[in-house]
Amino acid sequence: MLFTSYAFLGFVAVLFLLYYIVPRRWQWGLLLGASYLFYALAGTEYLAYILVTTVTVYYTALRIERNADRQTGYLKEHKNELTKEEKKAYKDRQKSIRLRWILAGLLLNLGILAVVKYTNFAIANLNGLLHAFGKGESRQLSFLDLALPLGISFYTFQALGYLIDVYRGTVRAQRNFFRFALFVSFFPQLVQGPISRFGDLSQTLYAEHAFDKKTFSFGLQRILWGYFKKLVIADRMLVGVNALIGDPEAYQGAWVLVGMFFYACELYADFTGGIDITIGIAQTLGITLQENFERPFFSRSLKEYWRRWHITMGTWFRDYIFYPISVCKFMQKFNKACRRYLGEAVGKRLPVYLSSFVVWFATGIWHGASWNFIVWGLGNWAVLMVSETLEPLYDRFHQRFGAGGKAYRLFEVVRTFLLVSALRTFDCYRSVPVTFRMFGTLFTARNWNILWDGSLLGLGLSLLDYGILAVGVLMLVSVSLLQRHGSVRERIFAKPYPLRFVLWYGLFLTVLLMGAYGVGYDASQFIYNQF
Amino acid sequence: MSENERNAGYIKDVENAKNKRYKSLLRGIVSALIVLVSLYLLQRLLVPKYVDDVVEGAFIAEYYGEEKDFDVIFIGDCEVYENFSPAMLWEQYGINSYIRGSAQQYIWQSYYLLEDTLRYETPDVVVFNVLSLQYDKAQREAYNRMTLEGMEWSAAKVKSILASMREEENFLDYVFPILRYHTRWSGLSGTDLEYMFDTKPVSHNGYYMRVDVKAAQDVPQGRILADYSFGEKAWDYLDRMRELCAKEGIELVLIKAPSLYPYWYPEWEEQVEEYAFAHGLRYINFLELGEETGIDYATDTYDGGLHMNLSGAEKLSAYFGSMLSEELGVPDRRKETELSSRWEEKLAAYEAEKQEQYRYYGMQP
Amino acid sequence: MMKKVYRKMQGKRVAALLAAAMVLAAGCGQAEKTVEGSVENIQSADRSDGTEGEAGQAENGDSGQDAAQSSEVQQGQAPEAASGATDGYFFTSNGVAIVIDADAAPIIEKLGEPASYFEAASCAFEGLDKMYTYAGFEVDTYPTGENDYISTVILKDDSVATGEGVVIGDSLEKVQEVYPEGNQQENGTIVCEKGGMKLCFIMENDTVKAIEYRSTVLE
Repeated sequence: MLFTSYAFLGFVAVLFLLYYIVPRRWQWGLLLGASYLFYALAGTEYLAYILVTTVTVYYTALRIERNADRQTGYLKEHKNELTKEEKKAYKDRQKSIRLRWILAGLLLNLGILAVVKYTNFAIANLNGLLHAFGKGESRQLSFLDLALPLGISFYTFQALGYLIDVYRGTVRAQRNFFRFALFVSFFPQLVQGPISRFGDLSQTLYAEHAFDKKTFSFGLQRILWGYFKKLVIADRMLVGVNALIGDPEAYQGAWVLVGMFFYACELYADFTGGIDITIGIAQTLGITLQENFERPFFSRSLKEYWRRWHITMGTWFRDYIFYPISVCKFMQKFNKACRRYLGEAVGKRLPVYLSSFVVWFATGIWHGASWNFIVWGLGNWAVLMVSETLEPLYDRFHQRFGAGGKAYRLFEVVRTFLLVSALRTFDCYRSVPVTFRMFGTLFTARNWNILWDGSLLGLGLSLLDYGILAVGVLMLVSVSLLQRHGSVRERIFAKPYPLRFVLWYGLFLTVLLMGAYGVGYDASQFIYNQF
Repeated sequence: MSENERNAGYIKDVENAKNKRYKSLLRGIVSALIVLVSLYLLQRLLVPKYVDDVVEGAFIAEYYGEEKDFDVIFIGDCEVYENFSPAMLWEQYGINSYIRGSAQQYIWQSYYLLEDTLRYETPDVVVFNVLSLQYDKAQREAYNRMTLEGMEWSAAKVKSILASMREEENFLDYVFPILRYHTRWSGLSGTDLEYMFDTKPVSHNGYYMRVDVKAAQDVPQGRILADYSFGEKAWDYLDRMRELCAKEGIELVLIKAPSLYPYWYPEWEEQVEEYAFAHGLRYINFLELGEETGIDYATDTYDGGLHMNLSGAEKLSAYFGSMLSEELGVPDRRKETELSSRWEEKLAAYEAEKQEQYRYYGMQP
Repeated sequence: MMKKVYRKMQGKRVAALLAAAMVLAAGCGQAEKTVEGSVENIQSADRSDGTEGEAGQAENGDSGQDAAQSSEVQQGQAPEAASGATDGYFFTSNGVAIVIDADAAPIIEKLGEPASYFEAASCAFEGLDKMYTYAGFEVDTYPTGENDYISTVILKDDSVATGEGVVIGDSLEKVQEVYPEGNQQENGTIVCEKGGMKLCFIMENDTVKAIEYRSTVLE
C-alpha cells in the first residue's frame, strides 16, 4: 500500500476513527493489528520475516536482561563472600554468556538481511570474477528469486538497536511480546523510517491517548504538507529526472548539472515529504516520532549535512557502529601501533579513517545492493576525511581573510549543496562508470545553451510544470527559513480562523489539483490529450 | 462580592462558553459548506463536457433525458451508433428506437447498459452488435470513461465499472471524477464554463451523424491471430444478455454491422453463427448483405470502410427497419400524436444538422 | 553525555563483529578492478528479470524512493528510440532499420512507395493509425501529438526474415534456438521482450505462422 494510494488514505482514516472510539487501553493493540494488516497487504509471504526478527530479538533481549539481573542479584547477595578476583571471574563468565546471546541475535537477523538483500549482488560479483578469471565460457551462477520484504532494513535496524540497548543496559527489555511486536512493526515508519529508538518511541507508543483537537489537526497539517512535497513537487520533478537518467547518452554536459539539481529537489521533496506523512500520522495518533531532517540544505559543510539529513540513520550508524569500533580493543591496539610507527599527527588519524571507512561502506551498502551505492558512501567518506584533515588549514584561512560574513556563509551553503548533489549522481545513474563518464561530459559537451534555448521543455515538463515547480521549491525554501525561528504550524495557529482556513484549504486544493497522481499521470497519458 | 454578583458572573461564564461553542459549531458548518460547494463546483468545471470534439462521450447520458418508451434498443459500439439512424426508422416505419452505444463499448458494458435501460422500460427488441465479443478486457481507460461516466448511478453502473476497470484505474475516480480530471485545470476552455451545468444534444437518439464521404480501398486483411476463440468473459456476458432478454420477454437480435475494418474473421463468424443457432437467436451479418442493403463502399462510408456515413446508415436502416416491422412485428406508432410531435422536433433537428454538415463539407444534399 | 554512555558500554567486541558481519555479508574486499565488470553484470541481471535497479530501490533508505518509483510517473514522454537507437529487436528492409516506437516519417520515406496504404481512425479520437504494406511485410503506426510512431511490423511471408534470421515456416526448435529468451504463452505464441518492445512468433503446429514486432506503449 503506497502512501499515495487511496487505499492508504482510507486505511488511515478508518484507523483514526477506531483509535479514538475504542477504549484507550486497546489503542496500542489496535495499532499492532493495523500494522500487521498493513504488512500483510504488502504480501503475506513477508510476514514470516518480520515475525522471525520480532521473536528472536524479543527472546534474546529477555535472556540477556535476565542474565544481567541475575548477575546483579548474585553479586549483591554474595557481596561479602566473594573476593575481587572471584567477582571479576563471575562477571566475565556472565558477560560471555550475554555476548553469546547477542551475537546469536545479531548474526541471525543480519544474516537474514544479508541473504535477502545482498545475495544476488554477491552472485553478480562472483560471476564477474568467474568471468574474469575463467576461460571463455566460464560457469555462471544463476540469481536467486528473492523478494525483498517491505522495510526489512528499517525494522531490522530498529530491532537490533533495541537489542544492543538492552545489552548495554540503557533500556529495560519489553516483557510484553505484543508490545514489542508493535515497536518493530509500527506501520507509518515501516517503509522509509525514521529509525526509532526504543527509549524514545516507547514513551508514547503504548500510552493511552485522548483525542486532542490541536495535536490531531497539527498531525493532519503535517500530512498535508508531506503530500504537497511528494505529489506536487517530487513526483512532478520525477518526470524530468526519469527523462534525464533514462537516456544518459542523449543528456550530457550541462544536462548533468540540470539532473543534479532536479534530483536533489526531487529526492528532498520525496523523502522529507514521506517522513512528514509518517510523523504526521503518528502525531494524529498522539505518538511522537523522532525528526529525521533538520533543513539539511542549509548546511555549511558535508559533515553538518550528515548531521541534518536522515538523522536517525546517521545516529544509528554512529551509536551502533562507529563508536563501538572506535573504542574496541583492536582499534586501541591499532591506534597505539599507528602512533608508535607513524608519529602522533598521522597516527591518531588513521584509526578514525578506518572506523569511518567501515561506517560509510556500511551506509553505502545499506542504501542498496550495488556498487554505485558503495562508491557513493565511500565518496562521502573521502570528502569528509579530507575536510577533517584540512580543518586547521581552513581555520587559518578563515582567520586570515575574516571569512565568516553572510556572503561567505551563503557560499558555504551553496558549495555543500553542490557537493552533496554531485556525490548523489552515483545514486542517480545507478552505475559507477556511467556516472564518471557523465561527469566527464560536463567539461567536454559545451552545451550550456540548453539552459535557455527551450530544450528544458523537452523533458516532459511543460512551462506550467516549471512554474509550479519553481513556486513549490520557493515555498519549501521559505518554510525552511521560517522554521529556523520555531514551528510554522504554531505560528499559523495563532492567526485568525478565516486566514488559517484559507491557508490550509488552499494547500489542500493545490495538492488536489496540481498533484501528480491518478490515471492521467501514467505512461500512456498522451492518449488522453484530447479530453 | 454579593451572592447576586457571583451568580451573574457565573451565568455570564456559562453564556460565554455556550457562545464559544455556538461560534465554533457555526464555524465548522460554514467551513464544511464552503469546502463541499467549492469542490462540487470545481468538479463540474473540470470534468470533460464532450460537446465539441469528442462528442461520443456524451451519448450515454443523453438517454436519461428521453421519454423512455422505445420499442427497439440498440446496444454496442461505434458499429451501432454510426451505422443505424433511428430517425430513418421512425420516418419510414414508425419504429421508436434508441441507440445506447458508445466508443469501443465492451460487451459487459453493453450488458449493464441493458440492465440500466430495463430500470426504465422494457423494449420489444434489443439489437446487439457482436464486434465487441473479441475483447475480454478493457483496452483503454478513456473508452471506459466515455461509456461509464454518462450512466446514472445504479447497481448496474457499479457492476459495470467493476467489470471494466483496468489495473491502473480506481473506483473512487468514478465516484469523484475530480480525482481523475484534476489536471484539466490547465486546459480549460470557455466550453467548460458554458456547459458546467448544462449540455447540448450531440446525437439523434444515439446516432452519430456524418455526411462526408471517403471511399473504402486497400482495406487490409486481418492479422494472423494465435487464437480465434472469443474469451470466457465475453461469452459469459452474451449468455447473461440472452438470459435477461428471455426473462423479460425481449427479442434479442445479434448483428454484425457492415464495417470492413476492424476485420471480421471467418473464425469469429462461425462461432457467432453456432451460438445463435444453438440458442435460437436471430443473427444478421450485414457484411454478407451488400446487395440487399445496397451499401456502396465508394459512397456510403466516411472513413474508408470503418463506419457508415449518413447515406450508408440510412440505407442500412431502411433495410433493417423493414425486417424489424415485418418479421419481428415492431409496431408502427406514427399515429400516436404525442410521440409523433416529439419525433417531429427530432426530425427537424436531424434535418438541420444534415444541412449544416452538407454546408460544412461543401457538398450537395 | 554520549561519551559517558560509551565508556560504560561493554559491547565493543559485539559492535565490531556487527560491523564485520555487515561488511562480510556485502561480499566486500574486492579489488578496484572488478568494479566495472561487476556493475555491468548487475545491470544485465537486472534487465533480464525486468526490474531494472529495483533490488536496491525496493525499500530504499536514503531516497525513500519505493513510493516514487513505483508510482510510475512518466507522463508526457514521447516514445523512446525516436533517434533510431534501440535496445529492442528490429526488422531491416533494404538497409532501413524499422525500429518500434521510432518516429515513422523518416523510415517510411526511406522505404519508398508502399504497395498499399490504409488508415484507420480509432473510435472517438482524432488521429489515425496508418498501415503501409510492402513486399513481404507491413508497417503500422500510431499518432502521438504531431507525429506518427511505428507501432507494429508484421512479416507476411517467408521472403523476409527477422534480424536474427527466422522466417515464417521455421520450426519451434529453430525459434527457441535463436531466441532462447523467448517465453511461450498459453496460446503457443513465443514472445521475446526486449528494450520495451515485443517480438512475437505466432505458432501453429509448432511452425511459425506469423511474425510481429510490437510496441508495448499502447498496451
